[in-house]
Amino acid sequence: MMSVAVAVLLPGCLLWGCSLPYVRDIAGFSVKYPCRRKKYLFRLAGGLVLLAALPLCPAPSVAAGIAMWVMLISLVSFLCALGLGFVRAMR
Amino acid sequence: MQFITPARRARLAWFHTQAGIFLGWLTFIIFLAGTLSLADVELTRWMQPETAVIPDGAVLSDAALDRAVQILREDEKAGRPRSFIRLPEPRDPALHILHFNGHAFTGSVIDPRDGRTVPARDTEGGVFFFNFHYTLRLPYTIGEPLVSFITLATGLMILSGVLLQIGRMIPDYFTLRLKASRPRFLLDLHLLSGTVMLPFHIIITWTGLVLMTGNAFPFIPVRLPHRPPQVSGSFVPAASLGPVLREFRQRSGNAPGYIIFSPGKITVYGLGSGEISAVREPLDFDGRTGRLLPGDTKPAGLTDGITRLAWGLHLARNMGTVLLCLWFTGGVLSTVMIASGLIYYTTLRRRRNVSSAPGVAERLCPGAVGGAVVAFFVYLLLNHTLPADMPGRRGFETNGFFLAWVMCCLAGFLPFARVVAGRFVWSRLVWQAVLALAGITGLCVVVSDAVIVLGGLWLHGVRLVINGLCFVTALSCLAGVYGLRRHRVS
Repeated sequence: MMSVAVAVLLPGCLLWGCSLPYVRDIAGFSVKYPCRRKKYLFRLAGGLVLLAALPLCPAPSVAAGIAMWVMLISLVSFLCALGLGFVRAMR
Repeated sequence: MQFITPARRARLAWFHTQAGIFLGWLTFIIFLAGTLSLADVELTRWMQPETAVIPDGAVLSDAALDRAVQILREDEKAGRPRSFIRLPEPRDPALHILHFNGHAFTGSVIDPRDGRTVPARDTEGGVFFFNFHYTLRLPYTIGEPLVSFITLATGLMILSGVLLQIGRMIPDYFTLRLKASRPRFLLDLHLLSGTVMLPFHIIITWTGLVLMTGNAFPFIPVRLPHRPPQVSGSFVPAASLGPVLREFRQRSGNAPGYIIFSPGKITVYGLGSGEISAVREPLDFDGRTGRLLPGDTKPAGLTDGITRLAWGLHLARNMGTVLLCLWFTGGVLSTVMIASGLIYYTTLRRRRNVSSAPGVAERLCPGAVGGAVVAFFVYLLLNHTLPADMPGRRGFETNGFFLAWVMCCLAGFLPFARVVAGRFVWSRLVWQAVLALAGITGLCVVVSDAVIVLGGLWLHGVRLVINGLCFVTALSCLAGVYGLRRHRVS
């Protein structure tokens, strides 16, 4: 269950990150967005995917589940940033 | 209207920098010790390799409980301090009889299967970091208020950091430029670890303040969740503990965790699994007959509930393995955030004042930050290399920790480094020396454990994880020595 939650959180974080200039730069897109709507669309989609991972966190109580969800998002985000940093350093 | 005006921003930056440079060193060691204390049970198991003979999931026997009561009786006759019993749990299968020695809980280790006393070496183990975390190993009257003040300042530093970065928080969320100049990389790391772990920083700091309310806010009356009144008399129970624990399981539905004794009374605390709240309602039993005593039936109020939640979030005792590991990772990243902030400040200062002599902060930085890692490894290494039956070995271990740390801090003040190597290379040289020492000591720790714990026991889960983390940290330190050689200074 834990790995399923992480598997959902990872694309969620990346999708949310697609609305950020640094990630777009690494992905080879234009850093500037043609319109703000597209930027917020990415954030909304990423946020919804992250929210979908909440019930997947394997915890016996609601409070523990929320705590686990928050910590997993933080950790996956840090790992994403580290991975993107390495990708940028390699280029 | 803009809230963060340039003038306010300048004031916030001044506060963030000044508070960081004055208190950051202590904040760093408090966070490091707190992170290590999350794994205090596992560290104690690692530091007492003799207990590796007790298998995980060993069943607690009545004979072991009887033997524990017998030891308590002998201790009472000999006039030793009062003890309590820590029962086997999933994290530690041994039965412990513990007493407070002024700094940590130490005592005998008993095999729960047959009640045999395990000749475990005398050490404070991981509990050393728990005590160090909230007292800095100072007397309680000084240590606790000091840590409370630092916690309050840390809360304000986090707030000022968030306000300073609020405009760039979302756009810079994933930004980590590994190949940039050293100050830029350090600032990225500081901001990244600060931003992604912001919920954790806020939770840990403010729950820490709740725990320290009495010291941080002396004007607020504090009501502790459960503190039995002090009464005189024999605290060793006449009743057998086996039936008491069986009744506890039946009544509460939880596994028992601790047994605390007071004259005529046995108090059993349960273990929570996967719950955040720290304090569980204990059950009281008659010390002579073993019968359940009527307890306090009044339900816990909202304030009590919030206090227990805050305690649980900070102490992380009942969270379960997954959440505990996440908490540990959060602690490591918080420590990285503080360390990167401190190193960033000193590196930036060096760039701005190339011609001036290194300041105290700059001289202190390698020893205070990198030296803490050296001191931790020295503590573990002394535990494994000092003779197991050496008198006073516990003191040698803790003194070794502080001695190693102070020596590393003094390394930055050695005059020859600056004269020989020149100003820019000076701090890099000290950093390389400290990191090399940390790397080599860490590798020695892993090798010493392999030498001491021979056979399949070395491959035991807890030992494997701790040795693996030590190995990775040591290699990272050695990689840092190499990386510093190649890294651009400006």
